[in-house]
Amino acid sequence: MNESPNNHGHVGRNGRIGPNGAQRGAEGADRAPVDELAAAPDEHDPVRAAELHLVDALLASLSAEAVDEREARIRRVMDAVDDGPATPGRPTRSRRWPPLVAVAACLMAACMLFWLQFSPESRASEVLLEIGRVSLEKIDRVYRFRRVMPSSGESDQHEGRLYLRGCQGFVIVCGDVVLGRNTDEFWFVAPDGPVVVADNFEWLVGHSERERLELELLNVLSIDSRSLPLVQLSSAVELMQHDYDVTLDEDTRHGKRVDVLVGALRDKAADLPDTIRLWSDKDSRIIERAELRWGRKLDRPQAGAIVLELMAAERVPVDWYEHQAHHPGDQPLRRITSGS
Amino acid sequence: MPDARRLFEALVREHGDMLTVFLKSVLRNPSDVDDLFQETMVVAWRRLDDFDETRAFGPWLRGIAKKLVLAHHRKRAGRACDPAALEQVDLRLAQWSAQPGDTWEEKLRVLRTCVDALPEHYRETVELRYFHQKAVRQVSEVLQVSNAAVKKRLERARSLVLDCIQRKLAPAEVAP
Repeated sequence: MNESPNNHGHVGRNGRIGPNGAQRGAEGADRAPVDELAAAPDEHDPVRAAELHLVDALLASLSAEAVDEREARIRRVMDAVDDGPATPGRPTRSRRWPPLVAVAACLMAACMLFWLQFSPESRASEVLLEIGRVSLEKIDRVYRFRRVMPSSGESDQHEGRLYLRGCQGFVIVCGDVVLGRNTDEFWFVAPDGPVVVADNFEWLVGHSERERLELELLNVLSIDSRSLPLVQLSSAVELMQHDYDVTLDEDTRHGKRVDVLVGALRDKAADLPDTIRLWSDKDSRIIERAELRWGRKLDRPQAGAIVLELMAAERVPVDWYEHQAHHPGDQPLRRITSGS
Repeated sequence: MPDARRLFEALVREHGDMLTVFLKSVLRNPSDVDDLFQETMVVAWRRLDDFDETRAFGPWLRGIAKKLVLAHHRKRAGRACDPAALEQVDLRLAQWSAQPGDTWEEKLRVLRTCVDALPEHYRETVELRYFHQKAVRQVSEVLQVSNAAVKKRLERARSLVLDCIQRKLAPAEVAP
């Protein structure tokens, strides 16, 4: 059989932690404060990270919600099976339609295509796709970044500059602290204290000296475990494609007409912005302004909006998305991994 | 052929949870999980004639899913999927499949045991987050701690659960 016992070479965290060591960790957790437990850094270990994602998925599979999801998935699969080949491995026999029916079907398909091509929904999807493609380009773009509180309509103290390079990196400069991401790591630099580096945004949020960048700001940015922060605009575009009903509108900015994509969150219970608006140049498809707005909910008293405004292009150093570019080099480094 | 369809639906029901967990472990976007779940199952249906009935269905299904996941990561501009990580998830799921029990819930008895063995403040956080599906903010309100503390507890809890699982599953034999 495929699932041979000999395949279990990784068991025991690649041999680094044996049963006794792990036992001590679990017992110690009763007594040691969380910060104390989190203090020991671990090596970067994608295998353990994958196992932690697996634990997350296993735990989620035990919920009642998972049962509903399972039934929905099974139903969709069986519907697809019913619509596809009648038996496995064999294509469905082609039918010979009467010529009149075939002509009618062709006409109907042509009408559908015409309608789809020019329907507002189709146009919005098309624009969103173009914006998504441009947002992935490895070109540095700079945005003014501010958070707007719903009560006053004014920016709070979280105001700064956001640098984006496609889907691969971002840097937020907010006062004297800098939060960033290169392709694989998230990092946090403050003038005092260690440079914190993590390969998962959630871990960084959990461990960085949050009071420096304010707890709520990081919470707003962290949409869900394992997800990228929404300020990585390519992620926001991807989310809009999957989880939002998107419509297309127009607006005037700086004397020219621009497209505005308005995304309304389908599942209001999801921990995501209720609306995402993207203003984009009609020719270049660069996002000139983005507004991510969270609705006020009982469990979300910190609701508000994050607004990004495109600024003039700025040449940034090659290593700008690495933490080393933002501190002198003599600051201690604290690396956070799943085990720390 | 109604019999083939009925048999396949039984296989989908038997292995659906395992496949969902596999996909959730290696994909970030819930929509991608749904899409690749369906794609994997439809490919399995189309290739059912190729399936060697003397072998287990689960690893064959994960084999299809692994190829689709790697192709998905290649197509998308997101972070690449580490093949070693993918293999490790595959191996671990082989161990779960070998656990005694007829249903997925029964096979996850060890997981329940590990959660029950967590220190109180971790256990209640895990139960609220996963079993009662509370958002982090809601958990923080119930427990009267900050969102950061909830996230940190969840991290530590998952880490402790993983260590516990590794201890308990290590000697398990893998089912044919």
